Amino acid sequence: MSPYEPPVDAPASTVVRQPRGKLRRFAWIGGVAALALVLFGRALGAGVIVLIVALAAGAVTLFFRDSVAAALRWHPPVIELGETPQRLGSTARIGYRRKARRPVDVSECNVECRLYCEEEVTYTRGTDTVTDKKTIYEERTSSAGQGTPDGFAADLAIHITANAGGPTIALAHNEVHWYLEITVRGARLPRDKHSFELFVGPVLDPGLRARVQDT
Amino acid sequence: MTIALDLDHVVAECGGHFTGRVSRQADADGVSSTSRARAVRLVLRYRTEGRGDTDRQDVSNLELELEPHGGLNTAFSLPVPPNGPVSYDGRMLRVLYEIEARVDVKLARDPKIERPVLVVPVGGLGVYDRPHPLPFDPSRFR
Amino acid sequence: MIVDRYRAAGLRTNPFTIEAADPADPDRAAAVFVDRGLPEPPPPGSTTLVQLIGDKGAGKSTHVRHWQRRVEGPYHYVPRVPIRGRFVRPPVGPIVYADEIDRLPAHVRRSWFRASAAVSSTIVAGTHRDLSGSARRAGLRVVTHHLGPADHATLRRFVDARLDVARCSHTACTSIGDHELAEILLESAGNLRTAEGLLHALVADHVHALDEPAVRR
Repeated sequence: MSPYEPPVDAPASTVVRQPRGKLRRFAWIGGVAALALVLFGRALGAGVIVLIVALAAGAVTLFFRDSVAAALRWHPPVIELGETPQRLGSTARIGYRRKARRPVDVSECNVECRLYCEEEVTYTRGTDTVTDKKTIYEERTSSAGQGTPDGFAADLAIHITANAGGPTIALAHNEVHWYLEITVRGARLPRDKHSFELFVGPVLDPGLRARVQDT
Repeated sequence: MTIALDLDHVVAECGGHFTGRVSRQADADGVSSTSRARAVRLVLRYRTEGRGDTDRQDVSNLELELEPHGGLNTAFSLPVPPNGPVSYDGRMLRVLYEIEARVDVKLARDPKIERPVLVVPVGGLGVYDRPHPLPFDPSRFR
Repeated sequence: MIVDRYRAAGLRTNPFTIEAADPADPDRAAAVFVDRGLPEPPPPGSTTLVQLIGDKGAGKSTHVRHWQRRVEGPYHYVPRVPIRGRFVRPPVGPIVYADEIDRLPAHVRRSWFRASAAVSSTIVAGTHRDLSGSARRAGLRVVTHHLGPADHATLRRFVDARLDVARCSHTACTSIGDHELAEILLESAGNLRTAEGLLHALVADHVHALDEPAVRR
């Protein structure tokens, strides 16, 4: 098994990453549930189906109201990376871009970013499989964003430390992953949160190497 | 039937090589008898330790044929995969590397020798003397 | 030269890895077993169910395996998956060890208990639920042990046993202080499996804290 696989189809200088949002997962689950209702609905009756759908819609709206509101007014965010995979000890510039579905006046805006490294391990006892995760490094940063003709944007700097965590590893039972979790704050802005996975390669940043060897 | 494994360096970076010399003394007289030892296999292997089940993989290997009397004295070069994983000391898992030299002996237990080695990130030669991550010393990076 | 952080801390490896107490490895498991003060089960042929009741990670499997090492008998594990595995009736004999027997379908368990009572078997089993009613109706006497959360003293013995096995011989090794142990006990709520994971990370933190600056070649 390859320890990690760099992301595919990236332009040479800019890599655009899509979020791993939870809402998309639930949309997928909802689609499967709808298909099940269509296939087996006859046995339940129309009244029961309507009630189930109404309750499910109500629950989704209640628990994910911010995400639902954001999805209605804003396109999913994209982040632009200068390069990928990231290098250990490097400072990476991240561009956060968000387009609105209709014109919005964005006056004040703050983009908050949490960069974290997570170890994930899996073990089996008998036939029971247990997965444990631990966040072993975390860094928070924020940046003021600006309105753009079609939404808003922010530029962030994140530091991929070489002193904690490790390069991205994806073995059968042992994994190391890096994630960016981004939240925005401001009037008329989407109050949702998105996560992006970053691929950190087994490469030391030349700048860090030079600093270590100069001391 | 002893085997000796001498490494030029115990640290190599991803995409690099471990080089050295492997030697074995003949265990037959070379005239009237033939050694039961057939070959020496060199393997670069990683395994994990920690709170997860062990992952283990032979990432590169070489087979070196022995002389008829079982002797060998040759240089070798074992490639290190460019994509890692690197040697790593984490909080829930570790990745450890070793090089194993094993004598393939007919109808007998294969004697072997193992040496721990360090696989470091590209650009890490001369920087790492232990598994990633680097020790933290803020004064170095001002 | 390669610096091995754990050897620098006096340890051959982290004492709290998954392998350190693998119940399938009898030598390792015996070396790190922590006695919780439970009485030994009755001998084979006692027509008795000894049930260990406790949550996941309380130590039921560890104790069942420990007793099996002392008095031999077949061991049967009832899997969660595949579900068809739950329908396999455990063996019947003078003494039988089993785990997760609450997963057995009721009719399979009833049949097993009856067959075991008929041959005066001793069953030593881990379970999440009290099965005394079913066992008595089948004709077995019942001995029940509840494995609750570990206390500070038990956790200390647990930690010391692991450190002893992982210690490099004749060297001082990293230790875990009482206040650290108290925090682990609180965070794990006395569950030994949870504590194991926390202790693994704590030892890793100790080991990393001993790091010297990287040596340049």
